[in-house]
Amino acid sequence: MKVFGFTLTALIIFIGFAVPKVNAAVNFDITTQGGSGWVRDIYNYSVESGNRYSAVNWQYSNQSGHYMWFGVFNSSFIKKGQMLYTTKKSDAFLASLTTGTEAYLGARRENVGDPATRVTGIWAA
Amino acid sequence: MKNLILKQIKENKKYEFIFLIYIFLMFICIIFDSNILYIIYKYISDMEYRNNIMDFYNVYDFMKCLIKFLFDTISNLEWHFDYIVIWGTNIFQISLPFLAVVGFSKFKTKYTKKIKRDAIIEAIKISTATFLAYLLFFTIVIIICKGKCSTYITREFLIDIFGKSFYFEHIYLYYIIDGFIRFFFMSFIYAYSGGLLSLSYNKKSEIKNLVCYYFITIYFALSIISTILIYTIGNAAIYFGPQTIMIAGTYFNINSILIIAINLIPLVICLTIFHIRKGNHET
Repeated sequence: MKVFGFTLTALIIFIGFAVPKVNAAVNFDITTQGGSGWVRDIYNYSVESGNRYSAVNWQYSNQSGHYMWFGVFNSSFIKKGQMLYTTKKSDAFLASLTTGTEAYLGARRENVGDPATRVTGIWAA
Repeated sequence: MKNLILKQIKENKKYEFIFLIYIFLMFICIIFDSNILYIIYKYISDMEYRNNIMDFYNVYDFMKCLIKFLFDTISNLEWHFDYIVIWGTNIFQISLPFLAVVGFSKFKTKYTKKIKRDAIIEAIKISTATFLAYLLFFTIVIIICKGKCSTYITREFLIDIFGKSFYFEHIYLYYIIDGFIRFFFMSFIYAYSGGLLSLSYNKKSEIKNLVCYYFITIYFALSIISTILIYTIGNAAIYFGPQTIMIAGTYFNINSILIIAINLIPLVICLTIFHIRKGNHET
């Protein structure tokens, strides 16, 4: 039984590490590895005209029918705005950013056990 | 009276510990979500980052600048009740199998007829401790957020039973029912299943192997297998994931009754094992 247990544990660890890597290799563009922590460096841009809205274009996910959180961070990694999306779409949400600074788009899922969600996003001022 | 209270505190140490661990983890999750830990780490380890912050605040004392920066960060957080409850309890999707281990830890004795009832009482105590931790967190969050809720957050779990408007019209009641299912019902299932398994076997090593490997390993294996199955059989595979019920609010069009029924499977398996093994003990 011990051998079975350890074999299964090793298998889980292997799969756990392998799944995100497989996805990273296939999805070469903007990719977030889901999880419940913010993946912040999806895309960054310079805030040009004191804009207050950030647009996100959620085009694809390896699963259907799950929620996705998007957030905007300033250059100090302080969250300045966020939105929860229930379906894939292009949209804009409020973020309080300062002109001339850099900002980052982040994404995350609530599912800790599924680290392989792929999100593509384009955002503009 | 004082002695009685002290005696009760002493006798229920295990449940008090579970309660404290749960409440502690909920607040740690919020601190983690606020980015404060990452910011402190960056501030200490990245000189360029620190200098930029000091320039921004025009404060060049290490500690004074950090305190000002943290205060700014905390006041910028989204203090919405629903947001904090969702992310404060998110990590508990990986906690369930460990409750089975706690459930088993009391029973190392041989089977007696009375002990099955004791296993239920033990499971109720454990699940009450986890649910009380949730209720305390729930209350503190309402007070801190002054009852303010976000305008954009919505949930899917239980909506098929109560109707779409239920979430927005009775948001606090929704999170109490949701919390009851996730923290009382699910905790009870795993703690009772662990207790039943431990009663089914006499050797301590057998019990340890069964509970630890079967619950913890299979729980995480099924979580990953369900993720992989999504690529082949689609969204239906989320029902195979034992952690899904703990984050069911995030899945579009989820069948609440089905997901609750599926999560009874560990208990059904353990009850079956218990009744088969009980025969062996009685002979």
